[in-house]
Amino acid sequence: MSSLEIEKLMSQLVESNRKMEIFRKVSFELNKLISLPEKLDKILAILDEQFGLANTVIFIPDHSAKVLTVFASHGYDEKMIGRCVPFGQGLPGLAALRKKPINLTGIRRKQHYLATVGHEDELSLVKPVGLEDAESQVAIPLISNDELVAVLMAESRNLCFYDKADENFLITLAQPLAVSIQNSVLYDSMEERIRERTAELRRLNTTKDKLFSIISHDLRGPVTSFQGLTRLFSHYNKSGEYGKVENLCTKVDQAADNLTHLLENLLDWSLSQTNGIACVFENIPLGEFLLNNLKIYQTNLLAKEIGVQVSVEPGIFVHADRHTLATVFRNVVSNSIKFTPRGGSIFISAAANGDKIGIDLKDNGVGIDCQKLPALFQLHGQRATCGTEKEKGTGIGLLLVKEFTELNRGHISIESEPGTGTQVRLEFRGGTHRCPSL
Amino acid sequence: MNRKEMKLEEIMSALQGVIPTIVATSSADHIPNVTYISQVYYVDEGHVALSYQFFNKTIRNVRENPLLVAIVTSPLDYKLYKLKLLYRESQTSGEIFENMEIQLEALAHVKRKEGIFKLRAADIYEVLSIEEI
Repeated sequence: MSSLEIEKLMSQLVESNRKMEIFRKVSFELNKLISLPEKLDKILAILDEQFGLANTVIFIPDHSAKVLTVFASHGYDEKMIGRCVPFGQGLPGLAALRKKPINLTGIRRKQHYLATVGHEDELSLVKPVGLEDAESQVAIPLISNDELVAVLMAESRNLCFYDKADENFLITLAQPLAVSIQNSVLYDSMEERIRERTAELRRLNTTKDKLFSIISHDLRGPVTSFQGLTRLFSHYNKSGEYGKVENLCTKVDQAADNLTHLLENLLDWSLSQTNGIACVFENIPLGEFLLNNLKIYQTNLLAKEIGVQVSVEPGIFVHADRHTLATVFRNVVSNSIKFTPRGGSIFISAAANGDKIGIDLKDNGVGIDCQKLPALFQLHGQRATCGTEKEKGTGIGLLLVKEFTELNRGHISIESEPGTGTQVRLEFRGGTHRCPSL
Repeated sequence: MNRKEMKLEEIMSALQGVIPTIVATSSADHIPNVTYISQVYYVDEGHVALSYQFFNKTIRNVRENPLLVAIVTSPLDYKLYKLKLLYRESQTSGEIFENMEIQLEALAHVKRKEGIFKLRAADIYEVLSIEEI
């Protein structure tokens, strides 16, 4: 063997060792438990440091395999991350489309040659993603399980930067890189799915909590009333005041009817909650609706000797969901009763204004401090306030009122002054049924 | 001048197309034509390919007289090599054609892709001899 041949073999050995070292370093980085962008940044830095690849980009294809997006880059002055190139366009786009490595040298000279022999004065070139004056480019599709995972592109302003050996080395390097990227992308997508599922479960859990809160809030008042009646019933029975017992029977019967009605409403509503709160809109005659819901609180009103005046413009209707609207109305009435002292008054009025229906509920109760008004509709920091006769609450009533009013495309506003009273104004879409002319 | 016979693998750098190739052909009635082409593509140890993008005098001559001489230059040391080639066939599909087509397409990432930017065929030549000149 001649000294020239030995020298050549030695040179090949050194080159092989260098490539092995790069391969070892890249494999080490790929096995690290760090994020994919961080991992790829380090690998591109190694390729620059050890292999002289000063300008490198890793593109990731979208799900529809139509667009490549820059996921990692090295050696560019401009921000490259997020830049896109369609499949089939430019070197990376073609490498992605054909799933084949491409190695170009003397790019601008060849383009000039093509323009000359094609009798083109000037080529209308598509702006490349990377260097505009690149003379050498190599693009390697990273394929795992026959699926395009990414495209690695390296480019240089030198005329002849990448030879066949470089290309083959990058192809070898592409295999573990592809598997690592695919695993990371799969991991990220699984994490994303877990995040989505967790968010969905949280949402369902919140809905369930709200459901229980509503049931608790709406049931507490009527059940307490009913409990009071049954105790009175027992008391009169024991004391032999049978006349009063008979009088109570009608009230107990009515309270039981109201309670059953309320339970049915709540049950219907809770069944509609399986997929969250969805409104079924209909035209609801308002006068009848308000009076029916008011009946539920008749016992409470009587017990506190609170007078109610209802004034509803004839024929008006609201376009809303019956169950959520009932919850709104019941909660507002319940609050008024709770914070109106014995012997007080509640005024309910409703009138149409074009395609809007305004409902006002005004009481002459204790009122609310103006500083507390903004917190009424917030979940955090809500605390139940006892009524004028120590009536209990859940503290979420007005939160539900606001949420359900908005679900019904309505609006709520509250004006209040301590010691004077509170006025709740609800506004919904609706109209007036015209009475047939006589 | 070194007249030593060489292998195609030894002049790979000259086949990267960095420096244009000079090709000489002659018609059936021996009228010579010398011109530049962009690149001579390596096929295997005994063959190279030239791109056929449009019908010019070189293509016409080769179809009449299959002998061709190409002078390629290595961009590393600017050494010149003379290749005597014999036209064998034109391929319009297959791996060689696809590889050449993709190179041309990648090079010509222009908004309009017809005419010169379309590869008609990959002309396959047998390498008869290689000389450093």
